[in-house]
Amino acid sequence: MTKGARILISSTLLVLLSTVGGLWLAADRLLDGVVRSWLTARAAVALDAEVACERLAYGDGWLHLTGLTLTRPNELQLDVAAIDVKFSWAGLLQRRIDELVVREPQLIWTASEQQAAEEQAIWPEDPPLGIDTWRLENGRVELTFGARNFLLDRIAAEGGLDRQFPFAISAITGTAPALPLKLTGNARWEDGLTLTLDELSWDGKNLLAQPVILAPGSDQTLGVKLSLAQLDDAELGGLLTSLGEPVPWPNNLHWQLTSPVLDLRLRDKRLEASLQTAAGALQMADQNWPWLNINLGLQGDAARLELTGSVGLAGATTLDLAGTWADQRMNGSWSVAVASPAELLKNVGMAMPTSAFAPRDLTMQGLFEVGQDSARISKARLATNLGELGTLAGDVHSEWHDEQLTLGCERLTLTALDGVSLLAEATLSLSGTPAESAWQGDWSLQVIDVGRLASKGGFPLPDGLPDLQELSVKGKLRFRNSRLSLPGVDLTGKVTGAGFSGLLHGRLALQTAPDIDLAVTFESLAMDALDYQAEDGMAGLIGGKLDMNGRLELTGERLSFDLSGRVGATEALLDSWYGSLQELPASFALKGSWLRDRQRLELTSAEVDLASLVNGRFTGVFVDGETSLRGQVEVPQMNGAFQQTLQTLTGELLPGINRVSLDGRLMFDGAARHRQGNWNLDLDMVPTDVTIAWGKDARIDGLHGRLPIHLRQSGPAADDLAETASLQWSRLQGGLFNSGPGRLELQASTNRWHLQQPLELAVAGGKMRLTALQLDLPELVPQLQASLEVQDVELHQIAKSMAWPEMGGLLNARLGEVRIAKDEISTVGDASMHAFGGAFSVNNMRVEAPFSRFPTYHADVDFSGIDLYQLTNTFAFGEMNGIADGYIHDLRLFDGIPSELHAKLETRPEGTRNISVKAIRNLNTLSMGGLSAALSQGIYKFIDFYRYRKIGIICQLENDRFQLEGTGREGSDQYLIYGGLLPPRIDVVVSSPTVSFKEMVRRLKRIERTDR
Amino acid sequence: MKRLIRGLCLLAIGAVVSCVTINIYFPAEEIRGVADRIVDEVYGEPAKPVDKVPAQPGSSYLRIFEPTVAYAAPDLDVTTPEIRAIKADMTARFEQLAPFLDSGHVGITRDGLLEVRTAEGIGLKERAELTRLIKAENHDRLRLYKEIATANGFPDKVDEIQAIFAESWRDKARKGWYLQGAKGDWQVK
Repeated sequence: MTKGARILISSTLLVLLSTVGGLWLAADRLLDGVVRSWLTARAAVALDAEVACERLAYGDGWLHLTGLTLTRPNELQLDVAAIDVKFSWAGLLQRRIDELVVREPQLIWTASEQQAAEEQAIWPEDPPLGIDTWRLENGRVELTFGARNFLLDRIAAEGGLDRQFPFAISAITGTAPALPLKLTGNARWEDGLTLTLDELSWDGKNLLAQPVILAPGSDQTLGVKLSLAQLDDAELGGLLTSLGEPVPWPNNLHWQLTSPVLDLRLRDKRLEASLQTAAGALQMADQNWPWLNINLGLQGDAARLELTGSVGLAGATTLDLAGTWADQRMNGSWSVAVASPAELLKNVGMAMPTSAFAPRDLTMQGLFEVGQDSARISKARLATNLGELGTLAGDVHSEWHDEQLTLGCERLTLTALDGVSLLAEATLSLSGTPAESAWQGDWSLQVIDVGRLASKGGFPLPDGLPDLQELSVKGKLRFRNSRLSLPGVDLTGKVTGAGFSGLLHGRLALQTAPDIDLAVTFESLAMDALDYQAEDGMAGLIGGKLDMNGRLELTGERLSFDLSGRVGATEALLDSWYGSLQELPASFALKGSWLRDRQRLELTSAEVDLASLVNGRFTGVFVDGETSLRGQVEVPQMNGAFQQTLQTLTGELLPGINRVSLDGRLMFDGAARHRQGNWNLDLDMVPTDVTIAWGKDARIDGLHGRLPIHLRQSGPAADDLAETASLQWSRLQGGLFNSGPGRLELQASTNRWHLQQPLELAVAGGKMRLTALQLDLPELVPQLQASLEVQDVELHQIAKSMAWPEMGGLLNARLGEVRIAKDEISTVGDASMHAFGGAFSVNNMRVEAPFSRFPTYHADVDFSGIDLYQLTNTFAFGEMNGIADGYIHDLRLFDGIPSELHAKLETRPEGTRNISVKAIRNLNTLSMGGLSAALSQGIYKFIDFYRYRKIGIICQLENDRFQLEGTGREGSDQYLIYGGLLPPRIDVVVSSPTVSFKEMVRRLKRIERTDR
Repeated sequence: MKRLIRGLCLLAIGAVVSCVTINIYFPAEEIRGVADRIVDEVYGEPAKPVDKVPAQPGSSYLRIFEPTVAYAAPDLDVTTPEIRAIKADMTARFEQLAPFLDSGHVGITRDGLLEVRTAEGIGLKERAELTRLIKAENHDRLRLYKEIATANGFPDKVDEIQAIFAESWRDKARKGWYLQGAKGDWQVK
């Protein structure tokens, strides 16, 4: 070493020593005066901020920095109460410090969201220095990004800084709520920083199921992988709230992710993120939608992000998403495929209807667009297989904007399985505010064939009911405060099928209310041009019309109705009955309810009015298999319009009714019941001052009283009671009788009425006494039994009344038992008549087919002691004298003409017996003898009367053959008149004993002509 | 011995030949002739002479060995007042029914009654009238059969008479009328 060198070294050491000594002596001043200023100036430049430090001091191996402030106006404010740094010079040379304590740092950072996003952390490859331990005490961070605030308070952290070091951070996040946050982990800083979070607990809950690795790497690469045991809306919501972030889902939406794995990687300003969950659930209101898995992927840069993913739901349901995030909007496509809608609904706690039209599968795909304050689903196509019902498909679109959501379904068509036949088409247009659950819109529905649709849906219309085709329904829709209303619903359709045709139209409104499930108000519901024709065409209705209004209310199982309206038709046909009903409009008002669970229809009030002619008021109950009805039917005035209408409606079937005239008031009051296939009817028929007249032949006036009617289809029961009743009248007039006030006392029991007290009427100078009368309706086939006595009825009055030849005598009859049943009237009694000086007895009276076109009368007539003089004078046959006996047996009158008889007439061999020429001629005409010419010749032409010994006639009519025999002379069958013993004598014999009845009628007509 | 055998043979032949049954038979052919006449009258066709009654069984030589049936052939009586009245009604009514038969609205059933085949094109009022006509006609036809049976002494043969008349109603139906087939279908004659 040279001297110069030694001097230089010595000088340097001296200077250095002096400097160090000086520095040692003035270290505080240097640090606080020079270094602090230098450092703050350098920091201000480096950080582009105003930096200030109150004091910088060193002592006991610690460098104390107090009152550090860093200000970037309107952006950043950092206040640190103190920073203590313990170091050693050796350590400094190795870029290590022993300990770092930061006390009460407070950071307030305000930045726009864009600035925050552009802030990039720059991480060196290796730690810039080593720190054995560092600690942060009572720190506070306030971050404001745009409108969002983030607060970390009472921050405490400790750790080290090396190639590997642990760290622990605790803090309180937010203020409402203020949640404790704790992070512990290890860092590895080799070729970049990698943080391993072993614990991340927030609000006392560890959010990590496994360590989270944060790999910020360099300034271009950031990797975060979060794997949680579970995450739900409450946890994330609380976290977001404490972070000052708004919760981006509705309050009533709850969700849960099981074992979510979030992998985030930011590389070269490109984000690659994926979210996978094993399971989860989405819950809204009462609906719980579990999902099986979620796989979402996101990649791209800040300008454009591509989203792909799928969500698996129960029922083999898959939701696929693909979209692009750009310009603050996301556009893309989505599709949903549901292989088993029933299974899907089952998993969300809903039951799929088990009908045949339950969806077998469902697919839906479309486009979506999501912006910051709007979202849209467009060109969505829905298709679902409804089994036998067909396929439902349609276009769906939806838009959300300013918290307003619109939803549209167009061309929603239901197509039959053949893929061609259109069954129904619908449209729906809705707009509303989901947050308020308020919706309104329009809808329409067209059903081509309601019956076909119902049948395919497993609800075939009952046989005999018409179908509804071309049904078109459209109206408004409103939903607010959990109340749905469909006002202004217009309805049109065609009634067809089962013989019906007609037009249906109406306007109605539907709505739900807190205490009513559904209310339907019919402003009008009308069926016009309603025609009906039975399958065989022999029953029908033309010009039917129904106008109805009213209200239906469905509450639980009860459907209440209050309906009124008018019905009418122009013509009606039922078998052989035809009626013109143009003048017979009917009005009705119905109130009642239908209990669906009990299958019970209660009719609390039913009023029917038929053209103001007949009115009825009813109440009733209809339960499955049992019907009971109570009410009144009244004809307030039977004369005038009612009578005319009755005659018009029934005149074709009952021609005689046109002779009937009616008056008074008639009411039926009672009940009807149908049970187990049998029906009962208990009525009171109450006439009030009723008049029934049959032309001028018969009439009853002032009829009043009560007639009970008890009918049982199953016949009388043992416990049935009988009741008495009476009908009174002020006048009863018939052809032969004309009586004043009278009274009919009856006893009514099930299917039976019988007379309690005999009824006596004055008839043609005598009297008629109805001693018994019983009407039975066994199995509803009427049977009438009566006992009738006729006493001393004057025949001349009968003859006068019946326009018969004048005759005298009395008629007595005791028709012991008259039966009217089915197609026959019969009696076991007899009638006796005293006429023509003798007696007539009529037995075995019977009428076959009494109400047919050709009634047939049967009887046996016996007579005795008949004065031929009276008889022949009465019938202008020609005078005869004598007493005759005989009979007409097996008499059969068909259409008033004898078709069978066996008759005999023989005179007694006593008294005056002669016969006029006229009578002889007539008898001869009947026997076809050639006597007429002989009586006009010789002495005979001067004789008017001839004596005879006997007149004997037997005649028989059978099968149109009339056989005549004469029994006037014993031993011969030819003598009708066996002449007297003394001349001039004349015999009349049968020349042609058998002739056709036609010929006999001809002969009788000849007699009639001769008589004229 | 030969005598004995010959005698027995003669006895046997005699026994066979002498097996005579007296039977009031049902005169189907006569009824058929009557039916034809009545149907002609009702339809307005000229009455044809009564078909000759076919030879009675037993005319064959070989049938000498068959038991002999002696037929008591009654004279059929179809001119009773009942039958005449019914026929008159039917004849008068037929003028109203014929247009409906011609148009095919009414057809003849297998049992010889009338039935509405289709009511298409007929007003309701006319349908009611048509129903009344058909009911009256069918009622009269059935009563006619009953009266014929009663008048001729076989009241239990109404069904057989109806069957014979049914053939006549159908055989004599005019061309273009509808007849009901065996399966209930309608065929144009």
